Amino acid sequence: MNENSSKDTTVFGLNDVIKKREKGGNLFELHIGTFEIKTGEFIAIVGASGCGKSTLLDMLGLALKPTSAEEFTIRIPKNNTEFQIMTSSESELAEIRKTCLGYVLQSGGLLPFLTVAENIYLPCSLNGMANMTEHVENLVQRLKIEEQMPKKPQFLSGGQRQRVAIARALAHRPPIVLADEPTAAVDKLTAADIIVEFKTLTQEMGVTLLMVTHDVNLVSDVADRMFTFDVDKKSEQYTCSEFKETAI
Amino acid sequence: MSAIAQKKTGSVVFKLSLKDLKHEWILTSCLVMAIAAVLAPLLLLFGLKYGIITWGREYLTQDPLYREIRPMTSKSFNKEWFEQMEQRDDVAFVMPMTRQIAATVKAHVKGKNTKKELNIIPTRAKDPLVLENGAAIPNKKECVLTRIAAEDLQAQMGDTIVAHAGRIIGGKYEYGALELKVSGILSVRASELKSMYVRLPILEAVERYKDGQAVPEFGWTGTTPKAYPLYDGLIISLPKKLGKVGEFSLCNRTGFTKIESLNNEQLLAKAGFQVAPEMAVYRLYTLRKPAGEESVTSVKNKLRGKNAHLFPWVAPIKAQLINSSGQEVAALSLASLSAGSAQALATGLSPIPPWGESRRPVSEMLKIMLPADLAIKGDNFSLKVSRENGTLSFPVAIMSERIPTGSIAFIPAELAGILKLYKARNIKFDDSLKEFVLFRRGYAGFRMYAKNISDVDGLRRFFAEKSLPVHTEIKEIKKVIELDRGMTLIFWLLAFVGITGSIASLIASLYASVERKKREMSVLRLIGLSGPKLFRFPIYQGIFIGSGGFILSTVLFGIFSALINSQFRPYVDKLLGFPMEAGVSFCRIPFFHMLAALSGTVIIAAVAAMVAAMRVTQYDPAEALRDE
Repeated sequence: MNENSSKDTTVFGLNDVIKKREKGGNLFELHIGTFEIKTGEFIAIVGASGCGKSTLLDMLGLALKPTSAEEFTIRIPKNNTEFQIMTSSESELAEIRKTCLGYVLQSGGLLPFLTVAENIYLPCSLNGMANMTEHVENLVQRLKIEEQMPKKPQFLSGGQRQRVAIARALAHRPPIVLADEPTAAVDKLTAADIIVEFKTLTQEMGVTLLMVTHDVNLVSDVADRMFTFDVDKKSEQYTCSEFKETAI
Repeated sequence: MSAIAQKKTGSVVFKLSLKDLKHEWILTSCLVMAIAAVLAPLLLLFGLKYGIITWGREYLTQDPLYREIRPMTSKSFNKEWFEQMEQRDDVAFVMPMTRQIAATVKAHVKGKNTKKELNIIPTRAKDPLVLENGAAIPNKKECVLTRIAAEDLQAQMGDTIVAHAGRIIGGKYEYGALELKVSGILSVRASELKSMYVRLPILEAVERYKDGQAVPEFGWTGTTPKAYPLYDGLIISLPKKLGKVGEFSLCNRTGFTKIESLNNEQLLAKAGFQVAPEMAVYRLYTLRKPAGEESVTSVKNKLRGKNAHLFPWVAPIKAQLINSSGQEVAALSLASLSAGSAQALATGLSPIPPWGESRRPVSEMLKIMLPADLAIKGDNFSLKVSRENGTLSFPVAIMSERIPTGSIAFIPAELAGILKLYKARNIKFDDSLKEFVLFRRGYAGFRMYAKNISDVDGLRRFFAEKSLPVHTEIKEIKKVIELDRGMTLIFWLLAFVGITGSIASLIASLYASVERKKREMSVLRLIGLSGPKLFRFPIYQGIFIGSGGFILSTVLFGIFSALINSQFRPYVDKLLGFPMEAGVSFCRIPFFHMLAALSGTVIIAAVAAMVAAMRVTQYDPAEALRDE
């Protein structure tokens, strides 16, 4: 499906998005100026903890709504329309999460009661997609996890688990994949391997990849663009964070 | 999303919930066992309650003994009463019964010597005691014995029983014998008494014999309760009028209460006959109670020496003259007249009855004198007199003498008096005795069975209101009802505690389970399962655990109810006070109730799971993105 969309199509369009959060009397404010993501881009979001990384990921993952936004849209490839996030309901967001997004979570986020195969095929079955075997088998082969298919996730190593998570995120051919520190629990060498494989797969599939990490070195060679946060601690109780692009 | 995809998501949630249960099979088994631990004892308790109560009800319903209503005092119950009772919806069977004391015979099997005393009890078609205890209703020459009577007499089916009805008359013991074939022997439960069930006429015959009467149909000798005449009044004819005192004295303690003087026309109008015009004529009559023969004698005594002639008088009676082929020949109005030829001559009587003076025997009174213009053909005539609830027929000879004028027929005064009696008492003409015989007014008792055990108390109260105490097995019936109530209460109390406990345990377990799976639930929400869909996840699990618990309970119930049914029978027999029949299980649950229990369990499990499900919908999909 993504083969048809041009490279320049905006996948995410954010303008003047503000999220305010209060925690234990401390106010945190994240500000995103203009942030546009094009189809097939590999965006790396880098920052230390407490800078608003997770908050941004929650919003891009459609799990959290901003406090206010001038513009916050996502392109739905099915009918090629821009969807307004701010005015949509929880069930609509759930529907977009299901069809348009793939997630790779820190420790995989695999369901322990399903086998690797069941985990990978879960998004397909949730979307009612049949005949995905060829595609999924290809993914599995590429990620070198064929032998793990009948196992439960608990018997997998950290790296294997992340590969399974990547396969699951791509199984239902979503236009966008969000990855949150996908290699946090993996040694450096394996991590680099995984990232390269991840990027290759997404590029081949024309998938937009948003990866959040604290490790600049890991992504600096592979990412198309890199973003970070400008944290301004205005007082003891008030922290402001400005999202901005940074040079690779 | 298309409807098919929607459906698929639903089944995905179902599969996921089952896979989760399978993954955590140890925890799942614990939950299933926790449910079974509550449910199995409840099922056993319910099974016991149902089994015992149902069995008890069936036992009571099956045994006619518990539907029996027995009068505790003797009273007279007439035919109308029995008809009324028969029409009641709550009465299955009712029939007359004689006094208990008159209903015993000495009996032995023909050819054997053991003589035993037996009660004889009447039976007839539809008698539940006989029919529901393995015998058929006996015919007129048969009897049915209770088991104990048969054992005592060493009688078998098909044996002939010789029954002796005994009485002591004038210090002398005499008996009437009767042979009956044993057509059936009742099962043990029917009665603990040595009894013989026969048709009512047999019992009536025994009663009559014991009362000293003859029973010609069985060849038993004795007296006959003959019908006696009753009169409405008395016509007196004298040569001279009586004074006021004389007139008054005839109404004083004679049985007659009124007197009037009649001229010849009035006499003709009243009595249908005339005397010589110079005769003084009076009519003595009663207003209420008809007078008997003794009143006539009493008047006769008071008029001694006055040359008076008495004609007992009965107001005209309607009757039908029937020929030998049963056809009505004439409708008649009968007047009474008896007079000897001397009397007729002395009074100048007209007409003169050819039968002369009134006298016994009855065979000489069965005569009729018809009006001259009535044309009669045929022979073997009989007269039929009707009353509200019956008719009386008897043969009658038509006199060749006819009454020259008028339309009235005459019969002897004594016959008219008997027909008068028929208005008040039951009379039949006994062909073998050639006599009018009185027979019973009513019956001292009855045998009655209610339609249902639930009708027994109503009938008991009905009779109590009529001051007729009856004996019923209401205590036994109430025992079962009380037991039912008590067990129902205990059952519901325990069920309440048990069900509350299992709900609490199910809620706690499922809640803890989803709380433990918070991250997984969030992941599911993140990858696109909306709240309402994920809501079903714990519900499916609750239903599965509930059903599993139910199935395990059913298995346990099967094992333990079989054990109870086989091992504890003697104890239950003791507890109930009466033995259970073989093959009756007193711990059982009917299939339909089992289904109800299953659906109840599933519903309760689903409701309990809803609490956990509410929690699931509160989870933020964002939780999945963050690693604690």
